[in-house]
Amino acid sequence: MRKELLLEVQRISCERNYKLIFENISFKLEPGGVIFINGENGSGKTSLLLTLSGVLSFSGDVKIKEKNKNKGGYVGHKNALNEAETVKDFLYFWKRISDFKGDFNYIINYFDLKKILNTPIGFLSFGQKKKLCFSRLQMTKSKIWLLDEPVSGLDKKTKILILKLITNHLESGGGAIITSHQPIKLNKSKNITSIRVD
Amino acid sequence: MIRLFFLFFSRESKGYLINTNKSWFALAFFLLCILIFPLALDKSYVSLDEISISSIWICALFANLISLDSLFKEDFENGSLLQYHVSNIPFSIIVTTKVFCHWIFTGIPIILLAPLFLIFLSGSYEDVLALFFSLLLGTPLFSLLGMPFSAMTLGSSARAPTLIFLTIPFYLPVIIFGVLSVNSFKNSSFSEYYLLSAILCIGIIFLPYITIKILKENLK
Repeated sequence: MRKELLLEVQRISCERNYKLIFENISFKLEPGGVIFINGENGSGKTSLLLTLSGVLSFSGDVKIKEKNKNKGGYVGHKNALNEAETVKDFLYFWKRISDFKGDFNYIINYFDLKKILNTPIGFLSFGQKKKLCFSRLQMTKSKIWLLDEPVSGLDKKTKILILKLITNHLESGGGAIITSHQPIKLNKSKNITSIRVD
Repeated sequence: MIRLFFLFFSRESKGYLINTNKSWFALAFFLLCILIFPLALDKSYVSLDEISISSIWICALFANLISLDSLFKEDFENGSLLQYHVSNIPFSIIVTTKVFCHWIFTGIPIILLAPLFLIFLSGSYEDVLALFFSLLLGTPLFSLLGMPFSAMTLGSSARAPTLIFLTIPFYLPVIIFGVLSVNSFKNSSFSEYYLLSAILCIGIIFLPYITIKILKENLK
């Protein structure tokens, strides 16, 4: 594997419940690079992300840089939020779990979470919940972000904030693998690859 | 690992305290069941004194059984289990804290209240200590034995009945030895207590491991 690559995937195939989901997919992810995964509903885009995150078993070869192993950064369809928990409890929990030593207030201010800190997550809107998912993602220190439909269902303002966050992550040497139905425009990103899952 | 355990433990405990469905429901069910026993009993055939121990054990069993449903359900449905897996958080920590909190919030209140209800049902103080110790060994076993089945039935459309039918056969030895142990306490022979302790030790070692395997398979 070339030294600068974050991830190298060679001819991976995945079977789920005895059904072939996708086969022979290969790509390389460099620092600052983005892989867009396209395909129809049910074509296996989410399964591909779950395979890369180590949840689903696969055949083929996935090479991840040693220091990036075991640091998952995944935002999926399900938000993984506990409805009874307050925003503050949620953020502090993930801060401690991820051993995050960065600017915690920056994360709170970036998505303007200060005024909902004491609100139970169950009372939040879809967009606010998505913001919490991305706040958690920022704290995981993961170099490779696996994003499943990251901006669908969001208003323009939240969409811009999330796309800016992804761009910042790419600029700092990270990479992202994104599935999306809508076209996503990432400013300044030159290293974009599109792959299709059928 | 210890830091992670305490983080998850405090989060899970808060969940039990906030979410009334999780803890108070089982306890309320236990109290209601105990109250119904004397009302439903024809005292000309059986005296309440004779069946008080068994009725407390039966109520404890069913209270545990209905609370098993919520053990992993919420975390599975909202994607938290998947997030923990992707974030490489050891499932051993998650499973251990879940079963420990389940016992603390459903088992311990039953252990503490059962002696009071024994006095209320039988009118004697004789078996209070015996019942206390037998439940102290039996209730963690209920939580431990139910845990793999709770994990196994996640995502199933007929979850509640499946969970009950799968779990009850494994609860039978516990309830049999639990009820017998109270009688053996009077004769100063503690064989059933030793047996329950042995099952508990085996359960603590193997059942979390089995549950982890089932949970990981279920995420696929």
